[in-house]
Amino acid sequence: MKIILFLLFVFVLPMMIGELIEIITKTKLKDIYSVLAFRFVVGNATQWAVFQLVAVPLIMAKVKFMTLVVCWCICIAVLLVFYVAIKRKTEKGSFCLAVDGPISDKLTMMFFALLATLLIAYQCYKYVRYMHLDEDDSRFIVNAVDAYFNNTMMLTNPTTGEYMGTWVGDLAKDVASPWMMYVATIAKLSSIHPTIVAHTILPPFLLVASYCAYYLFATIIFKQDVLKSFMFLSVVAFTNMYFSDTVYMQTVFSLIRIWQGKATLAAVMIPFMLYALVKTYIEDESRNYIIIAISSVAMCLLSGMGIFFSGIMVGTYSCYFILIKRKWKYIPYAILCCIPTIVYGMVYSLIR
Amino acid sequence: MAEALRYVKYFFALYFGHSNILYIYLISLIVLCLCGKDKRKIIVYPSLLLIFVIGNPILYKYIWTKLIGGTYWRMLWMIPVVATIGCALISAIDKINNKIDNSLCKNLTKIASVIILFAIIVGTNKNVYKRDNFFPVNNMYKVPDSTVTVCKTLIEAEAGGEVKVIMPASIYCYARQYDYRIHQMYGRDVEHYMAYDLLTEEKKKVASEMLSGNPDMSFVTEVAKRDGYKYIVCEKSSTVDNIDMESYGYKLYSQLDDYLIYCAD
Repeated sequence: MKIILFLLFVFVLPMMIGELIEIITKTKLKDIYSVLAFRFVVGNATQWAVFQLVAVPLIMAKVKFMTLVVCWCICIAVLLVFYVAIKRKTEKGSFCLAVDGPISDKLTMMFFALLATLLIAYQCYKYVRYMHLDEDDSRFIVNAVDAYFNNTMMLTNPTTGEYMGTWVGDLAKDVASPWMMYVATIAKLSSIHPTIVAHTILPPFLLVASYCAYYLFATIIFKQDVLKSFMFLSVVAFTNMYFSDTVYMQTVFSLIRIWQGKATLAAVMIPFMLYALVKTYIEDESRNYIIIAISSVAMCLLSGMGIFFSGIMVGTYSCYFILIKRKWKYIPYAILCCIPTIVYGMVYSLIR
Repeated sequence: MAEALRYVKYFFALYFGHSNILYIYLISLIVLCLCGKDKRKIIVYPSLLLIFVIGNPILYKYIWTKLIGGTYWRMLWMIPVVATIGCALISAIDKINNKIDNSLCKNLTKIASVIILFAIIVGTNKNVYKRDNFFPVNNMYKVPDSTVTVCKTLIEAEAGGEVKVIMPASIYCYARQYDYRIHQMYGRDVEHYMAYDLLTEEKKKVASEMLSGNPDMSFVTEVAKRDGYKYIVCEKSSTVDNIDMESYGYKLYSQLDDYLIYCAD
């Protein structure tokens, strides 16, 4: 039952919310793999964005953790109502499963799809059966544990367990980016200990989301060529395993400690934001800014750095793409997508 | 400004280390430049702009250090290194395959190119899973087994209630991840992390003694008893093993594989 509830909140609901965003943004995806990947990543990103919007004011108001859980669930329920209403009016799409063309193309696609699947499955297995001890978890994970059991949000000293009534030291940074409260929420809703959720159960899903983001990037670069997209995914999955000379690398964070917000930022949201920005450039469609806006807010949830990285990525890529294409009408949208950086940046600076 | 540029170079070197991934990335950018205007506009130029924004010493000095501080190297995560390498390989294969008519040969070229790239990467870089501090797990919490054993013993001793304890450095980062009922005198905050300023001078001194390898247990136990820390956990290998803790009012409660648990009388 616990695992079913966990899958509900980490897989089933994101897929439905992802489909809602797909319909709203009129995203056209040709193959079933990119449809599934898009819905999974954007659904989770939307849940994270909604959580960020709800959580930060409630944490600043020092309400009980269960109040946040209930409020977030209400927001997700509202999204699901929209989903049901919109889905009824939408035509069913049809998607291809494999490539067109000669048999050698089909076999090559299957080879790369299998290779990518095996590499990703291997990395997921490593997450489940192996462990990395990280001292940063003495703050991150303990925040989630205290929220789960004490019903308070970052008001307890994570080292000593003493109730402080306010945000102490580095905890103040987490108020503007309460990723661990999200982990605690998922743990609460599925009745699984937050440490087990963070260390063992959630990482494979986050890793799959990361590779879904890379796959979507490939589909946009290679014009929905499934064979090339799986080839790209195999190269990325393999290179990630060997791009590890120092502990600072993005890939080390992605493959060893993805449950931490900053690692989820590096593994999932930075590639997904890249996809969203390039998609906007290629497709020249203003509705794509909805995806960018969702990604911006989601990045703010994950880490204090995410607040600034979202602004930097949106600002840099948008400036470049708008200048290259001379589509000045997109300037207001780009500015709107930088608002999360400004708002949460101010919260981060004021509270720190 | 020269100093800012020096720091930027330092962080870039810190990030990429001695791996050849940086060179493969730079070669990939060149390959993509040669693969057409499309790839240049979508991947190369934005990447270079982003590198310029991140690596600019003026921005580093006046903005990035204020926003990001000592973790500036995390900004390098925004540079799409691995994605660029993947795009470059596939674009290069496309260029080669344009000269081949046979579809079977085209596909064999794809497979062979990927295998060659994998061989280059494996031969010259380290597998992330061969790092130290990555090992098989025996519990779902993924904290050291000894932490689980110590915490379970303490919780049972207090019949499921709150436990006030002084923990050694090998446990204090993990104990509260396992059970919120463990209340420690100090933890990672003694390493100037989290809430160091909230520690009293006495607690800092207790931590300093316990971490010294030759603690003054009369001082430690006096503070512990006064502040209600009923338990003291020590590593078996520590010098506390040779101290008569009973004379300080703490008797040996439990002897585990690697740890000794003392309980106040």
